[in-house]
Amino acid sequence: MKKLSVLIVVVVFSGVSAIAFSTPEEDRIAFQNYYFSKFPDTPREDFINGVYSISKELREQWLELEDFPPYEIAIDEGKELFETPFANGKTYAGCFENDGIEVRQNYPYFDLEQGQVITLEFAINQCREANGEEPLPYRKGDIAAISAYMAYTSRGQTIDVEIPDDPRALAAYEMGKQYYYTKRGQLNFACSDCHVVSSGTKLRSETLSPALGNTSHFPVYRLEWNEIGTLHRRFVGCNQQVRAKPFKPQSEVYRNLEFFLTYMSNGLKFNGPGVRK
Amino acid sequence: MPVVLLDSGTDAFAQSEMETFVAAFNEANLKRKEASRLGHEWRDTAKILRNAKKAAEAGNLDEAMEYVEQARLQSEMAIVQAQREEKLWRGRIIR
Repeated sequence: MKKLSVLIVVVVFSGVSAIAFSTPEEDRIAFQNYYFSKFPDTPREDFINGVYSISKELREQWLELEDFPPYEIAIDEGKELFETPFANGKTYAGCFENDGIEVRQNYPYFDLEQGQVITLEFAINQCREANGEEPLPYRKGDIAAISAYMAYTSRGQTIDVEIPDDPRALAAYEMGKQYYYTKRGQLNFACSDCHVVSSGTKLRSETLSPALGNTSHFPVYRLEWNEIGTLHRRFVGCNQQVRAKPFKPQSEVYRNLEFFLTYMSNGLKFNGPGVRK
Repeated sequence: MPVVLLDSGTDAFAQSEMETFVAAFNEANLKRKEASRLGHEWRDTAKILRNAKKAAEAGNLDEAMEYVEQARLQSEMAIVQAQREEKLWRGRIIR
């Protein structure tokens, strides 16, 4: 009997450990296969178009919007801001590889020296501060425009988030993953409740987008906002919709969330900025 | 969140009621802070406590206590949610 108990304990703990320690790559493969099975008519590379990859009707409306995309002004503004020298005479280009052109795909990444996830918008503000400028607010405005311009120069680049062999990087990934699957707020919803389990279904008049490709097209011009906004602005909005107190844009929590979510889309292409309802 | 100040000009009964409110307010606010520490504060809890403070300052202690009770319950449920989710979230991972 004692042997049986020991066996049961071993089996139970083996099971728990297998669940607890699935690797990021195992997660990514399962994640992507889930959507490939759920939406078999959607070409795999098309998930970067969010809800428009799974709804014919909405896609037609979106393609009409793309004829005269409302984010174009933001791209132009972003280019001008990007090229305008700081007070010290330097520009954003000096802070990035390849002078900041076609580098969107390098973000987010885990910086081993800083011990944290660096997103594109976070890097833009680090650049400003390194050059003696005040950081920009993270939700909209200039930072969204600069990000839109940098994303535009990087269209077609492959999402390839790496998780370095460092326990801090894996911990950041795990924290982002936990956040994604954790129910919160008065309505008791996890991100995954809407964008995994219920993706493709209606929430009132809105069709819920699949999570695969969710970060590829940001920043986005949302018709609801009537302007361009960042991914973290959307995180804030989602949390508020389930009546949870949101975290601050570019907080460690949201940067880790972006790290996890973007890793899940590895292999797809960046196609920002985008336009959404 | 600032604690409601007692008005020294009120009579003994009102003073006692106000003390009861302040104690309940502080307790609810502590629970809100605990929910926040766990990363699970709900969106409207702080606003409800602000409403409680405004009602108390306007002398509407019954209304103020209702707000406090609502905030306390929200915070307690948020704490339970955080504790429960610590165990349950892994069950939702796509495998």
